[in-house]
Amino acid sequence: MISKAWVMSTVLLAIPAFAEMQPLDDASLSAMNGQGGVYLSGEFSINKDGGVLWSTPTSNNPSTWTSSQRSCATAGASTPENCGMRVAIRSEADGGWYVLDNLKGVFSFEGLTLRTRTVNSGFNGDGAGFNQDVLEFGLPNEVKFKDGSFAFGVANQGGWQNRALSVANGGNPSYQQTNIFSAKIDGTIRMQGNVLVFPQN
Amino acid sequence: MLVLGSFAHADLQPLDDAEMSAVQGAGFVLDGILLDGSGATITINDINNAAGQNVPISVKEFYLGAAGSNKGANLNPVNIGRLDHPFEITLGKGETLRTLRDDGQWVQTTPSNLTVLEFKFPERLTGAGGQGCISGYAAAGSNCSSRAAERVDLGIRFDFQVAAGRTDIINLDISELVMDGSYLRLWGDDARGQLVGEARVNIFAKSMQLMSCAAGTANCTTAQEQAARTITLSNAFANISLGYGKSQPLLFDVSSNGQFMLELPNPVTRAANGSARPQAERNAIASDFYANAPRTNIVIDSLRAGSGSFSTGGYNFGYNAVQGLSINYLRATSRDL
Repeated sequence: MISKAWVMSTVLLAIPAFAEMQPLDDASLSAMNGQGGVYLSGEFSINKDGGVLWSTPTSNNPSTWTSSQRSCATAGASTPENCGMRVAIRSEADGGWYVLDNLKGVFSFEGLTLRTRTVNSGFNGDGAGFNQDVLEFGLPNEVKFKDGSFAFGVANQGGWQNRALSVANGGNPSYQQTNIFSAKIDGTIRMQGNVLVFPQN
Repeated sequence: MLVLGSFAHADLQPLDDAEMSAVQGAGFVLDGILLDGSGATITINDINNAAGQNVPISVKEFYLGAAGSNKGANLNPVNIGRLDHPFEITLGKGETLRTLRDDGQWVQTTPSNLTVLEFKFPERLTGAGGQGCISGYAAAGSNCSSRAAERVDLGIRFDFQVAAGRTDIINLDISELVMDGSYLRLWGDDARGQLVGEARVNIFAKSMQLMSCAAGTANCTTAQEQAARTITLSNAFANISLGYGKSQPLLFDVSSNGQFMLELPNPVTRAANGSARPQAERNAIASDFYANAPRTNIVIDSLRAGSGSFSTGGYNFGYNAVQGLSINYLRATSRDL
């Protein structure tokens, strides 16, 4: 994918633009739409080797961790695991926090497209009456996940604290986090189709 | 480069007030959608048994495609949402949002003078253009906007790894699913100092089948064996209403000691700031609540366990319904075990 992108950009850069540029008049400008688009392929890796906040301890027992260590292995797992990104949101003035925790993994896709399209036919008869431009997100046919994971939970503090350590040792025994569930994703999900977006009143 | 180089000489026209106020949000239509998660391994963790051990749940055979997929065996792309009745994300005024009451009237349920963020499924239609929500079952109403070709088949299988060597299975297949008229509305409540909302979940399905074995495994191969392990809901629909913004908003809290809490407060006893209300005001709120708060209905035209025939060990429970349910008070909290 990277090599393809390189070839494309090299070709674009290599063509010298000899034609003189002409300003477009109003009529030609208004006649132009949906003539271009973007084709995206990519691979994201989020906190695959752990984040900057915590290093990985050697055991799963929180009382043995130092103040900068945390393992996100599931209950009963034998080996410790890196922790991913954490997002905490509080929706009430004096309330607790919703937490999206341990978000990590590799996520890759080929061929996410973005373009505009005029819809004036089809859609089981709805298109002709609609007759409007829409923004089209073409879903990639396949999205690949490798060791993707996240946990959803609730907590009484935004930042994670080790409740097995005393305050003097960098922990907080009153910290409370309840994970509602967590998920792990590996493999390929087939996603086909387009998402059409348009203004609505 | 080209884009930057060409000069746009066309004059920019300012939008007038009417045009500005006409644009409030974005509509979405899913065009030719197909999802198939059979090539992925999805595992749900952190759900523990009584001994505190993790019970991993594997999600398998997840699919979404056009109706008529024969439980996902024959997946085809489907359009969801119509161009004139799309999914929407809008910022609306409380006084302009409407909810369809069971008697076919559109009523305001959100408080006035507020900006409400709304996520909305394709709208329901009263009058011309309304489609039968479940084909061949008039009792489900004829006010859906999605047509027959815009309904989906959806399936998912959960494998619960209860203990070493034992896996319990729930396999769910829904056919001709449509969720028109569902929405989630969110706004900030000043007096309570928190995010509140109201939600409506409408589910209409030609059939829902819950099977307790994995197709193709021992004793789960032939149609007869599979039917014997299936609970079938035919012509089933649910309108689940949570919250009535004017007097009983849905509160999703996390308490300050870190527990999840879902609450539908008593609409009359206390004002949002905790002060008591005079009798006349309580009566007025109660009459408005009983007249306009959306109700919850769950209707299953035919509920069958197994083949439905007593001689083969099945049972037919026939028509089952909960209708016109109104929740006066609800409070559910999580607790650490």
